[in-house]
Amino acid sequence: MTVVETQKLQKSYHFGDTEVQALRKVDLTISESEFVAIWGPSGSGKSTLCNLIGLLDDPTSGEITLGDKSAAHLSDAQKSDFRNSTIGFVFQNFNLIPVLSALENVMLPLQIQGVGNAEARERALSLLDEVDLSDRSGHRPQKMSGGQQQRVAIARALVTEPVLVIADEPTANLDTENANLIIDLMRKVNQSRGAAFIFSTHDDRLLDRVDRKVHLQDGEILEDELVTSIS
Amino acid sequence: MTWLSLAFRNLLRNARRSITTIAAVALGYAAVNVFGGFATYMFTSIREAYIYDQANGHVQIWKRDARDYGGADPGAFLLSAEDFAEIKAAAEKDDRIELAAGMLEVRGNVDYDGNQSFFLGRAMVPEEQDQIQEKATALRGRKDKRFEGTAITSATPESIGITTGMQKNFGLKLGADVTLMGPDVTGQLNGVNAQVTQILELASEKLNKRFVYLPLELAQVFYTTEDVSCVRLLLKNEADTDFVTADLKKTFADRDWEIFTWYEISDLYGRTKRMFDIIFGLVFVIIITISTMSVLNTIGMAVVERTKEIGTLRAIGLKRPGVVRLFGIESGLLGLIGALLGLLITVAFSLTVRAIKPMWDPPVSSRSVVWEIKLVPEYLVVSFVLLVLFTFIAAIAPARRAARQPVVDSLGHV
Repeated sequence: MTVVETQKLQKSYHFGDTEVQALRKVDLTISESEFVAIWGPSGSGKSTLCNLIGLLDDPTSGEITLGDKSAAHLSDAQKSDFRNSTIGFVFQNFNLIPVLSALENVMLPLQIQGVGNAEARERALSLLDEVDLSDRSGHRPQKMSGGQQQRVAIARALVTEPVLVIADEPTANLDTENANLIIDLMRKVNQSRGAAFIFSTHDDRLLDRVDRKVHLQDGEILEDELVTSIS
Repeated sequence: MTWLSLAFRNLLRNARRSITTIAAVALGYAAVNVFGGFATYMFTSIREAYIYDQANGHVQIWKRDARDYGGADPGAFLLSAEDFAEIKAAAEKDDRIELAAGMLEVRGNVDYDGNQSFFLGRAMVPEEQDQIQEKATALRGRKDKRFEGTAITSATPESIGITTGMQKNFGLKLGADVTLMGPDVTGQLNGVNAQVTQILELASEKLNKRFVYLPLELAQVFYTTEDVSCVRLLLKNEADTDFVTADLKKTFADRDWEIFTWYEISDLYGRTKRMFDIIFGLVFVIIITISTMSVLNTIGMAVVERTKEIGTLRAIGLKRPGVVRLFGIESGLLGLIGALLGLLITVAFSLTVRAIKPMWDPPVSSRSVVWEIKLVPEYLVVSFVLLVLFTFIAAIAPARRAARQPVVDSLGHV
C-alpha cells in the first residue's frame, strides 16, 4: 500500500532576484513498511523533500498524496491534524521540549490529539519501554545523553501510531555506538509496527542499513536503488 | 502534564525575567488599589464629615429658595413650628428615619471683652446633634475627641461652642462669657449672653474661624422665633437616602418646601469625587499600560527564544490557536500571579497603615486625622480581572505572529 506519493514536486526559493530550484519535478512513491534513505550532498534537496512530504512546507508546484488524500487543498489545521495522526518526526537535534520529562515529551502528541491523561500516560510508558527508557521516564532531556534523547524522540514520533516516520539526519549528532543503537531501534520498530521510515541522511552507518536509497542531486532524483541485503 | 503546567514550567525557564514581570504587575496592581483605597477613604471622609461630623444628616427639608436667598432675609424663609411638627410626625411614621432634627442658622457678632467678630451660628438640640455626630467613623484624630471642654446639653441652655479659629482670634478661654448680638427675624437688634463651654474644630478651615454652635433654644431666643431654618433627617441606612427623599417629595408635593439629599448640597463631595475619579482613571490606564507592555515584552522575548520549539510543537500537530493558547496561558499566569501578589501587597499595606494610624492634615479638615487605605472590593476585583485579561491579550500578537510562521522556518530558527 502506498503511504506517500509525490508527483512532479517542485520547490524553489527566492533570494532577492535570484531563484534557487531546491527540487525539480520529483516523482517518488513510498510504500508501507519501507525503510528508505534519501541521500545526497548538502544542498541536494533532501531536507526540502522530507519537509514537503511531512507537510511542514508547501511545494511551489506538484502534488503530494498521503495515503489516498491529496495535500494540495488541506488547510493549515487539517495539515496539523494529519501530521499529528499520520506522520512521526525525528529531528537531528532531537527537538525535545526541555521543560518536560521524557514521559511528558512522549505524551505530548497524544495530548495535542485530545487523548486523556491516563491513556496518554499508559501509551507513552509503553513506548518508552519499547525504546528501553522506562527507567528514564521522569528525566528531563538535559539529564539524558544524546542517544537517550533521540530514543525519546523516536518514542514521541511513534506514540500516535503513524504510518510514516520522517527522520531528518537522525544519527548526525550521535557517536557510532549510539547511532547504531538508534538505527537498530528504528529498524526494529519499522519491522514490528509496519510504519514506513524516510531518512534524509548522508551517514554511511545508516545508508548501509536501509532497504532503499534515493539519491538526490541538485533537486533531482539521480538514482532510486533497492538494496537487497540488509545487515 | 497539562497545558497549564507546561506554561508554568516555561515561566520558570527564565525565572528572573518572569519575577521581574510579575513584580511589575504586582506593584502596578497594588499602586492602583492603594490609590483607589486612599481615594475612597477621602470620599468616605468627606461624606461622613458632611453627614455626621457637621450634623447635616442624610436629607434636608428647607423652605423653597431658602438656601439661595435666606441669607438676605432669614425670617422670610424659615419653616414654622407647625411645619416642623408636621415633618416630625411624618418622620416618626417612617421606619427608615431615625431622627428629624430642627436646625436654625443665625448670624451676628460675638462680643468678648469689647472685641467683636462676625459669626455664623448653627443651632440644634444638643442631644440631637450628638446623636448624628456619634455616627461618624472617618476623619477622627488618634484621641477621637471632637471638642475641648464640656458637653452642651439642654440642661445648659446658655452654653455655646466656638471654633478654635475664633478662640485664637479672641484669645479667650473655656468658661468665658460672651454676648451674641445681631438682628432678629424682625430686623430688631437683639443680644443674648452665653458662656463658651466648648472649643471645637471644623473640617472647613474658613468656617473654623467664624462658626459658633449653640443650642436651638438659645438661638430661637436670639432670633425671637420658634421657627427653624431646616429639618435634618438622619436615616438608619444611608442607602435609603434617595428613596426616602423621593417619598418625602411625594408626601409634601403640595408644600412650598425643597427636599435635598446630602450629596445635592455638598458641592465638595461631588467635586472631589469627580476629580479623584479622573485621576484614578488616568492612573489606572497608565499602570495597566505599563504592566501590559511589560508582559508583552516578556512574552515577545519568550516567543523569539522558543521559535524552534514552536516549530516542533507545530510539527507534531499543534495548531496555530494552540500556540496562541500556550503563550496566552503563560502571559495570563504572569498577570494572575502578579495580581495575586499585588492583592497581598495591597492588603498588607492597608493593614499596616491601619495598625500604625499615621496622621495627616487633609484639605477638608483643619485638624490632623488618621489616614487610611480602604480595601475596596469593586476596585480589587475589577483591576484584578482587567489586569489578567490584558496580560492574556498582550500575548496574542506575538504568539499569533509565531504561530503563523511557516513550520519549516520555525524549525530552522537558530
